[in-house]
Amino acid sequence: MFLALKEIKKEKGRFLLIISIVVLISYLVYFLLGLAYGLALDNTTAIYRLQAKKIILADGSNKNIQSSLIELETLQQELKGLDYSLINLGRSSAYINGQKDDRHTISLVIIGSESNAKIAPTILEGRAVMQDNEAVASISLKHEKDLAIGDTIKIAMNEKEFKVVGFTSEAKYNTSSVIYTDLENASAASMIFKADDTKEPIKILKRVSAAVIHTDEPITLTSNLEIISIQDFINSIPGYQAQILTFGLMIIFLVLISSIVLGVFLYIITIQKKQTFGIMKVQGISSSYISKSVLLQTLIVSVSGLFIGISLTYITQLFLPVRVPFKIDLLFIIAITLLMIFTTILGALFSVKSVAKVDPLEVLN
Amino acid sequence: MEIMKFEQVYKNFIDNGETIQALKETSFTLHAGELVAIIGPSGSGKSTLLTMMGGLQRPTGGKITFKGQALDTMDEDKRNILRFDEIGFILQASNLVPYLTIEEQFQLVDKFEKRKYDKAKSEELMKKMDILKRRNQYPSDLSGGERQRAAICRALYTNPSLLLADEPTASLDSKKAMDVIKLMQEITRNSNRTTVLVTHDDRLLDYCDRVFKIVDGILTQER
Ligand SMILES: Nc1ncnc2c1ncn2[C@@H]1O[C@H](COP(=O)(O)OP(=O)(O)OP(=O)(O)O)[C@@H](O)[C@H]1O
Ligand SMILES: [Mg+2]
Repeated sequence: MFLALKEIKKEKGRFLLIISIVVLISYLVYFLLGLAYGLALDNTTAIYRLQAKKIILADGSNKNIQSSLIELETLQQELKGLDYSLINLGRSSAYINGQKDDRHTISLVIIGSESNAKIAPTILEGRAVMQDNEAVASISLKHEKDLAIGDTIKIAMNEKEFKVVGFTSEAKYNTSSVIYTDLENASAASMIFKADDTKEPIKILKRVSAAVIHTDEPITLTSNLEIISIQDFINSIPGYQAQILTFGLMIIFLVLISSIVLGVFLYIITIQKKQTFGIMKVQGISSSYISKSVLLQTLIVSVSGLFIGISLTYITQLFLPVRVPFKIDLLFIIAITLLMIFTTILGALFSVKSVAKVDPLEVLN
Repeated sequence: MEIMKFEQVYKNFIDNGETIQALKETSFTLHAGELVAIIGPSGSGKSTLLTMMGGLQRPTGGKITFKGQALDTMDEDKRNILRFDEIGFILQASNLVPYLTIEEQFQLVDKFEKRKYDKAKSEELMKKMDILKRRNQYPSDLSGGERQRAAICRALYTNPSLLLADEPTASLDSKKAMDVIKLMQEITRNSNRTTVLVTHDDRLLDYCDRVFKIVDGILTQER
């Protein structure tokens, strides 16, 4: 402790330099981590909120809910007695309050459910859907697009207009914000139905996209349906796995490379002090005492650098525009921090080895 | 009192397959209160002898006894502890840890031993060597003479019974060299310890009780 701190005190400039390297590298790592996590959430929050264990899709839909269409009657027969919710998922561009400029157009996912279903959105502001032309929106639309209760959202595909009556907590699917309606309004049939197609809008629901199962119990189906675990379903969200892999590899390599850089840095600094270690050894100060101080210095440098890196990351979050998918998860931060401390210590062990090798005779002439 | 005994000690180095006889078989005894000088030309084996005395390297053959303990067969950890407690080294240059102030050099000793810093003792030593006003400075800020005196203070701080100095006055002018040798004479006599001094400087020999000479690894007592 004594040696480690006294040296840092004497060699302030040098240690400031090393710490700033740790700060910059860790800042980059944490920032990427935040982006990766934010993007992952943007793909999946709406799915996690379904509280589902499994999802039933049409046979051959390739785990993609947008390719799935199931006869309602069949589905209801098959799932009799199970804890399930019917779900429709549609996708379209939409615009707010009839304005078609960039600021008011959005890429939207419409999720429809029965009003008493488990997957119906919990209301943060306003109220739940009560009528045909009403919707509850993800709060992200309020933050990113200034959507307010009472505004209208017009679906570009079928020109159907919804009035926003409430907000639910953030829900996104495949990076698009979600609005929740009743089951019929999000059906494939009504997505392609335009108001002037016929005098009577199609109100009879014949098919749904899927059903989610809320329990773990094993299911056997007789019809041509696919049972997919929710994790499997999430992994099949278009582009999702590629993103996770890209970011994951980037982060892992950054952590590895940065700890090698740091390790080399500390090693060079350590071997520059060979003479000093020799002097101490002549005095009878043991290698283990000197090594401990080298390790402690590494720990001080990495912990303080990482701490500043984390602080910078939190500060950055405050100034990032809401549209940037950036989210900090404390658990991930802690895990990466521990990993980085571990790898730098591992690098420092090489320095320690060189300390033990210093022969006090070399200092004498 | 007998402090150190060499019995038929010799040291060979193998360098590129060639055997160098750095120190040929020699025997002698050192006593408490003695100031002993070792002289000889460069490469004659002076440092080799001194480092064996300090337990920094083992002899190729023979027996070295320090205060009744066999130094030649002792393992490295024990030799480290012994050196820390009983033996003080003063080197030609850079005896001090560059990133510790003069006072911190003493504190390091106590931190290593996990005991309380003896401020009174270090101050007394620094006062005696006239470097008290330099205590908060780093070795690089001191003059050569001041550094050498600081190194002597540091070596004396642990109260060693054997003080080993390898050309302690080499970097000093003759007046400062005289000051240092007088100081060493005083601390040897007054505290009844043994000091062994390697030197090239003949004027220092007047202050020594015995003088050994090494030529080509052969040790003889001159006086
Ligand atoms: N580690 C070693 N490996 C090989 N040879 C060595 C080693 N140490 C010393 N020698 C050789 O042993 C001989 C004695 O060396 P030593 O350092 O004891 O001389 P010295 O009297 O102290 O010389 P100087 O006055 O120049 O310091 C020299 O020939 C030297 O080259
Ligand atoms: Mg020498």
